[in-house]
Amino acid sequence: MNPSEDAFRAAVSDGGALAAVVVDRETRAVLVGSGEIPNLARLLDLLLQTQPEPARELYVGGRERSLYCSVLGSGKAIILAMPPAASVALGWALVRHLSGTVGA
Amino acid sequence: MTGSAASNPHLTLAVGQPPLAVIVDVDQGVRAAISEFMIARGYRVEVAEDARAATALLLRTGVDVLISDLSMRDPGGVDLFAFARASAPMTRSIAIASNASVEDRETALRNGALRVLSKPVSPRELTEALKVANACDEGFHGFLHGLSLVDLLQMYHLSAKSLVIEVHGEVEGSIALSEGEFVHAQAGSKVGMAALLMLLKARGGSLETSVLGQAQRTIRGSFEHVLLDSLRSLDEGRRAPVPVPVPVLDLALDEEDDAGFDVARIASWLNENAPQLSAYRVDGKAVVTEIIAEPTPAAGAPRAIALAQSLAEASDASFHSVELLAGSTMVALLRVSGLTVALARAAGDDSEVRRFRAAYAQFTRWLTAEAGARQ
Repeated sequence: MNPSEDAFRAAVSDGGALAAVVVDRETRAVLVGSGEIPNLARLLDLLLQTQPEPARELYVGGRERSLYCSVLGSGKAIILAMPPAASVALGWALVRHLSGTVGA
Repeated sequence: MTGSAASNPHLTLAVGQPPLAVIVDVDQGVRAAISEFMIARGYRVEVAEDARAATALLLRTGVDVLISDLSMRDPGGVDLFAFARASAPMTRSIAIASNASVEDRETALRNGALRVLSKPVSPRELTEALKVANACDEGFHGFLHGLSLVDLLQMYHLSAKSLVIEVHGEVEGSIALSEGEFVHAQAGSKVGMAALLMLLKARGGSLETSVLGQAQRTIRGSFEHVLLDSLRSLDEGRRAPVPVPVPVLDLALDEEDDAGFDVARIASWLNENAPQLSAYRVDGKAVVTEIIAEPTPAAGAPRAIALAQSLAEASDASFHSVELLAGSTMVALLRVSGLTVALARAAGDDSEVRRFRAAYAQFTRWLTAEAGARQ
């Protein structure tokens, strides 16, 4: 595990997240991950599909989890799952922080 | 008497010269008043004091509009309309009557009159009748029966017509089509998809068409999509009278019943607190069923709303809230007590995204409190 992966997992844990992954937008390969995001493949298919205008950010408030997705400019995408009770502001702040740890 | 004036923007039939109207009435005052009205609207006018003289005019010239008193006798107004229909089928007839019986009116309509107006004729009524006359510049008009509303809608869609279909009977309402596409429906206090469903659900009644004016847009989506979606909903309703259990949502205080929400109140709140946001009522299939507020047309909104819902369902089927930033569109969906509202606006820089999120959060708190107050 390299230092950035270590920092990523530590941030996920410290931020109280359920799971977080960084994926390569082209290959859909998970570059860094901590925990599991349910239906990740389906989610990525929809999020990264060719649209007239590509998706950039997504938040889903659900009963079981809140999900935050950000399509990064570096060819990566980050998906974060938080407990539903966590504040939206905390979720987005953690996404920004995690993006920084992987150099996005 | 003959007169002419500037071209009439409402008329398209006459090419090269103003359209010709023939006014028939025994009363010189009525003839003069209607002539003046018509000339002011760009018609050439010929007048006749009885049906016999009018018949000669109809045979001699290409008459666009015939406006005739219905109560003339020997030959009567009805005879004149029947003659016009037979000898000048492109002439559109409007009847005026002071004391016509129901039977006389019915006979006039059956003999080709488009409208029967009561004397004294108001400028507004005559203007409306002339609009109908202009809209009937081609094709047939008359009485039909045994036709379903769906058949009629499909016919007007295929011919890309712009008009309003007024529905009378157990459900009273109207459906507006613009170039063959749905733009608006109204039934009772409902508008949009809810109204369209009510009208399509009606077992029968009578239909009447009128000219499309400035209709508000309460229905979005292609004709085929909207019609199929409506028919599917009706079919599901007929086949599944037993309510299907729905997942309990975090913010949902009851299930599918959103009837208690006052859309006008939502629009008012948005106008006061977030006037830049467009807001739509959305059904379970992410189809916009009603425009609550739309300060500026949001062309990308329907597609973004559908994508947001798909993403949310892939993430958590019991989602209550979604925000999506896709290209130049920001949308947010909120489910509260069976009501799904989508907010949308054009995306901008980070500060605009933050403002959108703040407005959405404020709206969420308000709508949730509204739902609580309804309980």
